[in-house]
Amino acid sequence: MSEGLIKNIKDLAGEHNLASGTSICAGCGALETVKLFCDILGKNTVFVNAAGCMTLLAIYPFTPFSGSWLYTAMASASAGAQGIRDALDILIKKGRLSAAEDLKVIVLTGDGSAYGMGLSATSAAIDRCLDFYYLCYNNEGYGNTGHQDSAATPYGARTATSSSGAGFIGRKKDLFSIWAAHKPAYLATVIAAEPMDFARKVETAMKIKGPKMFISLAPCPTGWHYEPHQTVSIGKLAVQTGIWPLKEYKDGKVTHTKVIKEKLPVEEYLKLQGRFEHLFTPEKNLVLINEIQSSVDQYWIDI
Amino acid sequence: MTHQILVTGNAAAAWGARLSSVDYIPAFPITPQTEIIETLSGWINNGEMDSHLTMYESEHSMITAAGSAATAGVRVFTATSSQGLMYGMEMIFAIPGWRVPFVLVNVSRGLASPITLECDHNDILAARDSGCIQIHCSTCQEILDSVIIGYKISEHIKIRLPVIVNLDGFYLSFTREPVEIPEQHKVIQYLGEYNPMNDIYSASAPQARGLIVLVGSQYSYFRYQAHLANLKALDVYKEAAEEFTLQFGRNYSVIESYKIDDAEYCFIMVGSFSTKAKSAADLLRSEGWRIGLIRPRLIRPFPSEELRILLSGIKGAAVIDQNISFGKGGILYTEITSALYGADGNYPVTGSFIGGLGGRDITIDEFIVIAGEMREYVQKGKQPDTRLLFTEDELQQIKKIQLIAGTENS
Amino acid sequence: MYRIRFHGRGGEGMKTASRILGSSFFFEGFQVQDAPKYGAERRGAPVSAYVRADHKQIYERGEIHKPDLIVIADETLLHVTRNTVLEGIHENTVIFIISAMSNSELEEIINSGKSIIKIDPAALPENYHRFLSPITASASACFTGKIQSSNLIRGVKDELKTVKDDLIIENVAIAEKIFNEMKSYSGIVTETGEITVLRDPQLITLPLHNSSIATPVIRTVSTSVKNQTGSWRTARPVVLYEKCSGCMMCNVYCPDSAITKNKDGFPVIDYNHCKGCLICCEVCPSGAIRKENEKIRRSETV
Ligand SMILES: Cc1ncc(C[n+]2csc(CCOP(=O)(O)OP(=O)(O)O)c2C)c(N)n1
Ligand code: SF4
Ligand code: SF4
Ligand code: SF4
Ligand SMILES: [Mg+2]
Repeated sequence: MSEGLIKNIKDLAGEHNLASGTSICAGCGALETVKLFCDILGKNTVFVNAAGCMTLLAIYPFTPFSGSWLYTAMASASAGAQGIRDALDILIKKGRLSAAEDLKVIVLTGDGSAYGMGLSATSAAIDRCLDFYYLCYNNEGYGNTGHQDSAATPYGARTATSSSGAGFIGRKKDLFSIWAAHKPAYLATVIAAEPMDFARKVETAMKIKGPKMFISLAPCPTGWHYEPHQTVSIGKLAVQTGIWPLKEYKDGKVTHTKVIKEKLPVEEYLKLQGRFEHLFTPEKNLVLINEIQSSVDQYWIDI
Repeated sequence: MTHQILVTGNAAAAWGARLSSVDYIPAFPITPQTEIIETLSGWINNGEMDSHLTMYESEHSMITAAGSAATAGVRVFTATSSQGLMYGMEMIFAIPGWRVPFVLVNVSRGLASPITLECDHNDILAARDSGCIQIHCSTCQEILDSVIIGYKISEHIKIRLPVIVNLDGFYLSFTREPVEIPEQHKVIQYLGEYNPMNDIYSASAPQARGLIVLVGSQYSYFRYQAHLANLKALDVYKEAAEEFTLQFGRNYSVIESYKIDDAEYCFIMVGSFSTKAKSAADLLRSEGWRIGLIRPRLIRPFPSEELRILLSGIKGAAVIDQNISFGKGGILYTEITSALYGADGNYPVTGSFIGGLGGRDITIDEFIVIAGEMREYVQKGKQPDTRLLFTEDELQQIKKIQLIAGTENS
Repeated sequence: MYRIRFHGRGGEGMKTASRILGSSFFFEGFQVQDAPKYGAERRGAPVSAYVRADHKQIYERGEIHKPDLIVIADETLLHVTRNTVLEGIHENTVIFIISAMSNSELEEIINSGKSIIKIDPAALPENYHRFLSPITASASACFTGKIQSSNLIRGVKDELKTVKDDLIIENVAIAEKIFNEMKSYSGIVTETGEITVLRDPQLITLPLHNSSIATPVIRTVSTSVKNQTGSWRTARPVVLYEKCSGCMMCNVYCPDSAITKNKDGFPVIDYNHCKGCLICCEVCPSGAIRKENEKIRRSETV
């Protein structure tokens, strides 16, 4: 990792701030996200974590972090972050800690927590203009408990609790807009498969004080049922099909940071994943595939 | 025809709900409970079970919905574990005051911190004072049967309190044992079609529920009524269990006792490890000991009188708690000794042993040591201090780990 | 009582194996208890499962400390978690392993003086990895000499209820084949009664320590590197330096920080930690990372 501005992908290469040896699944897109985030942000960090797969990053006495970590609970990581931020500010103000010892405070949660149980605590932290980062790795389900559907599960996906028929019947909640309605200092969608876009956004956020919110689509071989080597390809397809729009919110304005001119059909993305297998076998479910396609098309027309 | 199949404790819990023809299942996942809701969801999705499952976003919501659906007239089943039970605890304490029935299966798992996935009983015992009835299981068969019996008690007009059926994470939840699956129509015959009686909202029968009560005397009345109902559940349980025996042949007294008739010594414990106490007792008996096991199935209501009868004449009783109340010790030990204190009779010297926290094994060797220590204390006529089952080896391991964590010298 | 323990890796089907064997015993009229032992670990990580079978109700619970049969589906576990895999070997313990090692090599590594039964992967279908459950379950069933092949097959079918028909047929066929091939070992695994050899557990009175150490806190960084997750691999990425441009894509995308950079700016794969996801192969723009089958070489690096 080079210090300073990230101009090309080589600047992200080299030594990493998240060590190997974790008990996270091979090929985990969420781990890739956290690693990238750590690399861009640097070592002076404290991660405040809610229950989820990433809780297993640090299992006593093993931590992969170069900085600090606190596990809290599924609902209240954002409150935990506020406690730490306030305490650091108090110490610095009272001269009991030098400013050089300050840390960036990052909430790390999955979608289950961010879109569901943790939403209230996060909403309140944004209300209070907390100076923090929030990294939601979105694997579109309760991954750690075996991938049941969450409020971020896409329409039509099979999960452990929508295991038959047409899959999940709910619609993925638009957390980006919900958080944007709070007017945070910075908000972006990212994906580790697009590291330069990711890096630019984190670097932008680093210059801003206040709530800095990130939602990262995190392909999950275990829950989405695909081979681990496909994590990056599937991530790139999520962007190229328009399913995962890369955008940011700043100064009251939403900007799309990667507009795909010739979008690929959503099928290209869906067909690689076992959770959508029922859309293709025993015969193609064109109704459902078209429904998914038109909701993506509609999104891009609306913006 | 009844038949035996091999199922896990979680699947047995799901079977209990299915056979009880529950209408509604509010759900939220947590290890090691997930298999229960996934099994039910699978059955509902493929049409094998006529019920409705709703995924909530937290246990606080899930348990609220379990209670509210029960006030609205349906038979409700739900399940959780550990942090989930804790997160729903506000409602676990609130709903007994609504006086509505449902069965909640708790799959015991130790509480944070440290966070763990493995079993102990601090989660379920944190709900001890809530008003919910607690049935503790030790085999997969018992889980299925207790869910069914649970509805019988919970729906009784004098009771109308939630029943929590407890099973151990991993040791039962993921362990398959032979389980007899009763016939559906016999279960319906035993339970009856669900009759909500007054517990229903409808256009023709408006009601306001869950109300604030600002007068202390009124508050006392309602609270004490819930207490009396909980106590009364002991008799209702006995009737329900007797009827269950008639119908299905299996016997579930409020306290299970094993080789206690001629016993001088006994182990007292709840949960799945109690079967290990049985093999320890068998082993000790082969060496001439007169020793057995006492296993309360009900923790709330607490079967004090039945316990006194069983313990009368026993010289030494070792209470093995798979939980710990910081600053006091074993919770079961406190419950047991308080039932004996001041009562007329010839009661044993009692020892308090804490083991199996966070899923730690309790080995046969340790049961043998416990028995030996109890004999010494009986000879001295003295209550021993609380003792954690923890070995020199384990302490040495901890020191090595602290070295890696960089804390051993701080 | 029979006490049988299976060792393999997440994804190799040891839970299924234990369930097939458990069901087979059950159909034979035994009382049975079977369970997997899950850790927090994932696909590729060491896992175990066990079966107890007896003529009366089983009171024992939890892990098996004195197994009558140890099944090792993955020989590399002998390097990684040897003590766990070989725990509690007693006079009559039989060890069954799928391994390409020679008998003398195996005896040296296991070093227990106990009978070792081996199947060489060369004698199995090429895709045998997908069938470790029926292979290990049927061999175990045969070793007990108490299970008829019809009940074994019923066990296999019962366990695979939800999979496709042709897959069931394949599983049944391989189970039958192994069951027959192992016939000469029928009855080699015997029951052990109640375990009566006791040991003083040496209980201590735990003293109070300072709160600074008596909480799960880590006061240093990056200790996770002590976990050699390289043992999870079933396939390994190999850099072909003649093709490599040094673009470092592989390093950026590897989720596990398992690729370092050498002084000339080229990638070096850390096989002690690489989990074998093969993302690096897929993202390399020059096709400079080759996938190799791990089975042959994993044990050397761990
Ligand atoms: C109050 C509470 N309920 C349930 C759980 C069990 N639990 C642990 S992780 C998890 C899933 C979290 O989902 P998500 O936030 O999407 O993270 P992921 O597991 O997908 O990484 C759940 C339900 C818990 N830890 N606490
Ligand atoms: S389940 Fe998915 S998100 Fe969780 S660790 Fe595994 S790959 Fe990552
Ligand atoms: S296979 Fe490649 S990307 Fe995957 S862990 Fe190994 S080095 Fe990293
Ligand atoms: S991605 Fe391929 S070409 Fe680039 S450094 Fe890695 S091995 Fe070499
Ligand atoms: Mg998730």
